Amino acid sequence: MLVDTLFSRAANSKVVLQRFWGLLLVVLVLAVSSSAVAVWMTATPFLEQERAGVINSQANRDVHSLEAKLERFRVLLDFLSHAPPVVDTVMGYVDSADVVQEFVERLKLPSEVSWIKIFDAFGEELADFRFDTQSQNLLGGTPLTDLVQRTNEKAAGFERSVVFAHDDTGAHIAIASPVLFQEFTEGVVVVGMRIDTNALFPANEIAKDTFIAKSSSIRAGITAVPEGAKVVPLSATDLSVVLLPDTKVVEAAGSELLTTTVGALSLVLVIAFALFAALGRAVLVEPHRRLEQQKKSLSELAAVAKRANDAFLVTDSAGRIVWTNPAFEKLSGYSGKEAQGKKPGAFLQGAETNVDTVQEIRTAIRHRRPIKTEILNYNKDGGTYWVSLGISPLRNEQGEFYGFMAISHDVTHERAQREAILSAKREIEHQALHDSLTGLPNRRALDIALQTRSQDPRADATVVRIDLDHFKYVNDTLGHAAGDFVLCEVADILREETKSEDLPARVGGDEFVILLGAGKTSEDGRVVAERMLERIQQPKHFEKKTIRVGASFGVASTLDGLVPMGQLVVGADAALYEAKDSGRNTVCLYTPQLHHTVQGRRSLALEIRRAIVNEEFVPFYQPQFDAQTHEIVGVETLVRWRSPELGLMAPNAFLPIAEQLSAVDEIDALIFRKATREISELREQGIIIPKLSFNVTAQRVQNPDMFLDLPKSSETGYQIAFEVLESVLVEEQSDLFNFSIDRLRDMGISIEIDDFGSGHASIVGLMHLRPDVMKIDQQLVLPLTKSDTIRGLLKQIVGMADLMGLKVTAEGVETMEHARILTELGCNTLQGFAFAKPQSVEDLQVFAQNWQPEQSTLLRSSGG
Amino acid sequence: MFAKLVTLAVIGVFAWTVSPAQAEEELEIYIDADFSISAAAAQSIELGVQTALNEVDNAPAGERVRLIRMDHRSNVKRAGRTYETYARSERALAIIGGKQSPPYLAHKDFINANGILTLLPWSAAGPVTRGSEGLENWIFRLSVDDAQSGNFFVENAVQKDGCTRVALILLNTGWGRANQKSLTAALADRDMKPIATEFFSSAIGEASAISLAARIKRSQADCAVMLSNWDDGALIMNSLHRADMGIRVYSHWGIMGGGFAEHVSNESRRALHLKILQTCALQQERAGNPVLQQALRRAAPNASALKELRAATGFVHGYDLTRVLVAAIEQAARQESWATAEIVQKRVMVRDALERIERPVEGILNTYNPPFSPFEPGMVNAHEALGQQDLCFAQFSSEGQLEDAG
Repeated sequence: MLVDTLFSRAANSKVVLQRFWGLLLVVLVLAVSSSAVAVWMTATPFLEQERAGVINSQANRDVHSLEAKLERFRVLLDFLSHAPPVVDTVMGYVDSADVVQEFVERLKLPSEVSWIKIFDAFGEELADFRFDTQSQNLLGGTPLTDLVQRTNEKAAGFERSVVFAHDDTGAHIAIASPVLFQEFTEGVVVVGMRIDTNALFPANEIAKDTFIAKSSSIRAGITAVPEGAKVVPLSATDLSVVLLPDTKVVEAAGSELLTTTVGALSLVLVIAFALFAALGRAVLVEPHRRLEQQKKSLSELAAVAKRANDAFLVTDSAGRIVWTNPAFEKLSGYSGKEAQGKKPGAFLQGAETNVDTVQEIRTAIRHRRPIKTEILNYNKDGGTYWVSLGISPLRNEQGEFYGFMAISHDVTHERAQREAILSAKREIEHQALHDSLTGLPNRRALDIALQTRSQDPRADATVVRIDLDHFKYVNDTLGHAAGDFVLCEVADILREETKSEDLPARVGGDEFVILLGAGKTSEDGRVVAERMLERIQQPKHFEKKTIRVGASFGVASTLDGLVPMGQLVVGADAALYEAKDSGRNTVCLYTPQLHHTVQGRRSLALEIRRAIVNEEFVPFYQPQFDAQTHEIVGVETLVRWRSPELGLMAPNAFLPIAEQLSAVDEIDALIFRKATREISELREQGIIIPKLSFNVTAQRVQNPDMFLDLPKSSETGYQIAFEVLESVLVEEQSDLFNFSIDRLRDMGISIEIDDFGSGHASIVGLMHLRPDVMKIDQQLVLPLTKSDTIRGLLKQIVGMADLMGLKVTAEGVETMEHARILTELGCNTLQGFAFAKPQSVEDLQVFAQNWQPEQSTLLRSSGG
Repeated sequence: MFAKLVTLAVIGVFAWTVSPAQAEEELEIYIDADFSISAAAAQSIELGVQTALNEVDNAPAGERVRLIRMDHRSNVKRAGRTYETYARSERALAIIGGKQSPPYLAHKDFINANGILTLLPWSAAGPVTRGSEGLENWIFRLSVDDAQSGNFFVENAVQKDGCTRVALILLNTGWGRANQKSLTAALADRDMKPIATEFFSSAIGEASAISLAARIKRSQADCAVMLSNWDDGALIMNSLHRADMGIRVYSHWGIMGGGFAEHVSNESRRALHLKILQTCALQQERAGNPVLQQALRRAAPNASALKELRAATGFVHGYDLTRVLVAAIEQAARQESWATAEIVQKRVMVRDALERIERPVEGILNTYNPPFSPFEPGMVNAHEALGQQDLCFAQFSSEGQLEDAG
C-alpha cells in the first residue's frame, strides 16, 4: 500500500504529501542508524586509548609512591652501614650484642621496618633485631643468603637486588648495603620491611588490584602476571608494580558514553528532520499560490524601481543597456539615452577597478547566474565611487532568459568607515599581543600559541627559556636607555636566529621564551640557544660605551617525555635555574636527572611543610667572644632541621626550597620562639648569655606579625639583636623598612649588619640605617693571615666603623692566629671555629660551663 | 664394565700426576697482616721474614717452607678465619703476625686452645703474650711490650733526664687507658704521681689543644709522656710549643707513619726535646752491627741505610723473629721423631724448642740467649724476646728523618 503510494504515477497533492512523509521517515531511520555506526567506529579506538592512558598514569603514580618509600629505606640503610658501632661490629672490634643493640635502640625507625640484620664479610649473621613481632618473617633462607653474598662480593647489579615475599599483611622486602672499612667491603646490613600495599596502592575504579613483584621473577616467568595487567619496573630496584585494571568499570563507562552520544545525535536528527519537513511541505504546497502573487507584484515593482534610491538598469540578453532609472542617472552622471545600447562594463569601470571582481562578474554573466559584490565605478566626470552591486538574470514565464537586471547603490562612505574601523581593530590586536619596546610577541601571545598547540593531544612542543645575566647591572649603572637598547638588540637576535615557524616572545623584564616549531626537539633547542648565546655575548656599543651581557638558557620539550605541555614552561624554568647555578652563560636541558631533582624538591617541600607543623626546626648557637677578655658576649642563632628521617640538616639543604615556599618567615618565627625560650631557661640555670642574635631578612623586618612575638629586653634580661644582610643597604630603603627598623630600636633591639664587605653597601646607606654593630664577612677574615692587603683593608674598615661609632664583630675566626690579628686591628667581638662551632643548646650549656676566659693571657703571650 | 675401568684408569693417572712429591712436603708459614690498608708495615715484615729464610735457602733443617700472605685488611673476623684455616691445615707450621693488636686480643683463647703457633713482630698490646687460663701459651713476641714500655718511659724521664713533675697526655682509647695504668704504676714505684693526666679525644680541635696546653702549663710539669696518633699529636705539640714552657716530651711510636714531621717544625721538636720510643735498631746501625749490614744487603742491595726502608721496624723485628724460628725448627728437627711426625706434633715440637733454645741466636737487635723461656706462673715475660733493655729513644733529624737519640 505504502509502496504503491510512493511509486504510483498518479500524483495529486494528497499523494505527493504521503510520498513526502514516507521518504522522510526512511531517510530519518537510515540517518540515525548510520550515525550510530559511525560514532561507534570512531569512538571505540579513542576510548581504548583513553583507558590505556588512565591505567598508565595510575601505574606510574604507584611506582613513584613505592620508589619514594624505598628511597627512605635506602637512606636509613646508608646511615646504618656507615655507623661506627656497625663498622666496629663487622670488623670484630667489639662484641656485637651490646654496642649495636644500644645503637639501634636509640634510632627512631619507621614503623614499616620489620627487622635489621648485620652480617660479616663471610655472610655470618652477627646481629638480628626484630621490630615487627606480629607478622611472620618471610624473608629468610636462600634468597637472603644470596642477597648477602652478592652484596659482600659486590656482584654485578647488587645494588638492585632485593628479597621479596608477600602475604595478607602486605609486601615484605629486604634490601642490603655493604659496610665499608677504608673502601673495602667488610660486611652487610640488611633491612627487612613490611609495606602495607593496600595503603600504598588504595583500591579505586581504575585498578582492581595492585601488587609488587620481582622484575627478574616476572622476566624469568616464575611470577605469573595475569593477562591485561600493566607491569612497570622500578629503576633502582629489582621490583615491579603490577596493576590489574578493572576493565568492566572502564568498559561500562565507555558504552554509557556511546549510548548517550547516539541518543543525543538521534534527538538532533529528529529535530532537524522536523524542521526540514515543515519547510519541505511549504515548498511543495505553496509554489502555485506564490506564482500568481509574483505576477501581480511585477507591475508594481516597475513603478517602485523608478522611484527607488537604488540605481537600476536592465540589459538585453547580449548585455546592452535597455533601461535605467533616475537614480542610476544621478549616481553615474550619464543620462538614460547616453547609457542605452552600451555594455555597462565598458564605461562604468576604469583603471582602478579590481580586475578579479570584473572577472567574477563576467563569469556569472556567462553562466547566467546571479551575483552580488562590491565594485569601484567611474562616473561621467571621471570620479570614482564604490557601489554594492547585485546582478540577476531575467526570465519570462516560460523560464526563457532574456536579459539582466543590475541594482546598485553607493557604498563609498560606508566602505571608508568600515576600513577605518578594521585598521583600528588590527592595531589594537597587535598591541595586545606584542611588546611595545621590542615588537616581539608578548606573554599573552605565547600563552595563546601554547594553548592552540595543546588543543591537539598529539602535538609536541619545545621551549627555550632565556634570562639575561647581569641585566640589572646594566640598568643600574648605564641607565634604562641602555637597558632598553640591550633588550632591543637581544630581540633582534631572537628574530634573526629563529625560523618563521618559531615564536620568540618577551615575557618579562629581561626574560624571553621561544616556542619552537612543531616537531623540533630539545637538541634543536640547544643548537638555537647556543647560537644565540654566542651572539648575545658579543660586546654591544651604546653611546660610545661597550656593554657586555650574557644569558642563561633552559630548554624543555614534551618530546623528552618528562613534562606535559602545561608544565613545559615550568620545566624550562628549572633548566634555566640549573644553567644559572652552573655559572651562567650556558644552556641547560630539562633532563631526566633534573626532572628527578625537581620531583625530589617537590617531596622535600612537602617534608618542610610537615616539619614546620611538627616544629622540627631547632636553633643552633655559635658563641661570640670579647676580643680582649675572651668572655662569651653572645650567641648567633642559626637554624638546623632535625628531621627524624633525614637527620640533622644545615640551612643550605632546605632554605632555598623554603624560600620558594615562602616558608622562611614561619621557620624564623619558630626558631625565634624556641631560641628565646631556651636561652631564658639557661639563664634560670645560672648560665648567662648576654646577647642573642638572629639573622632576619628585610622581608621579615617589614612583617608586622613579627612585632607580636618580640619580648622586651627588660623582661628577658638579655639583649636581642637582629642581623640584616649588608645587601639591604642597597636594595631595601623603603619607608616601611626604615620605620620597622626604628620601631625595633625603640623596643631595645640592636641592629647588626651581617656579611659586611661581601656586597656593595654604600657608606651613605650605612649612615642612614645607623646599625649598632657591623659584622665583617668571613671572606675578608679568612685570608687575613696571608695577605697584607686584606689586613690593611680591614684596618680601614675598623677605622671607619670607629668613626661612625659602630662596634665590629669578625666572623670566620678559624685559628688563634686570626684572633690575635683581629684583636690587634681593633675588632670588638670574635666568632669562629677557633673558639666554638654552632651547637645545640645542650652542647652550649656544657661549653659555657667549661669555658675559661683566663686563657686569654696565655693566648696573647703565645701569639706574640 | 669397560666404562668403569676407563674411569678408574683416568682417575688413577690423574692422582699419580698430582700426588705426593713436593707439594705435600712443603711446610707453610702464614703472614697474618693487613696488606691492603697498612700495606707498608705488612710488606716490611714480609721482607724481614723472607730475608731470614733466604739465609737458609728457604729450607730450615732441610724442610722446605713457603710464605703465604693472609691479608686480614684490619678485620678481626677475617683474621679469625686464618686461624681456623691454620687449625685445619696439614702443612701450616706457624703464623707471623702483623702490626695490629686487636686480632690477637680477640682470638687469644682460640689460638691457645687450638695450638696455633703465633709469632708477633710488631703488635704491642700487653695481654696477648700472657696466656689463657688453663691453656698452654702459644703466642710469642719480639717487639715493644706495652706492659714494659711504661717503666722504660718513666725510668728515662726520671732517672736519666731528672724529671720531677711528669704529666701524661693520652689518647682516650683502650690503648691510652691501659698505658695510663702502667705509667702510673711505674711512677708509683718511684713514689711519684702524675702531676697531670690529660685525656684527649681523636679529632681534637685547636681551641681544645690550647686549653690542654694551658692546663699542662699551669701544672708546672717539666716532662710529659704522650700517646697519640700523628695528627692529634702534631696539634698538641704545636700548642705546647706556643704556650712557651720548658717541657720535655716523650712519645710512644703511635705518632710515626704519617705527616707528623711535616706538621711540627724542627724548631718545635727541638724546643720540646721530643723523643720517640723505638727498639734499638738505629743504635745497632750506628754501632756498625754486622748482622744488620748483612741482612740489609741481602734484602735491599741498593739501600745504604735502614732509614731508606719504609716502616723499617717491621723488617728488623721480622728478621730477628724468623732467625729465632729457624733456630727452633733446626733444634726440633734434630729429634728422631721429627721425620715421621704429623703437623700437629711438629707444631708442639717447634713450640717446645722455642721455649728452650739451646744455642744463642744472633739478631739485629740482640743476641738472643735464650729468646724465650717456658711460660709458667710468675714468669709473665717468658714469651717476650725483648725487654726494657732493648728499648731506645729516637729523635727527628732536622730533615725529619728518625735518628738515634743517643
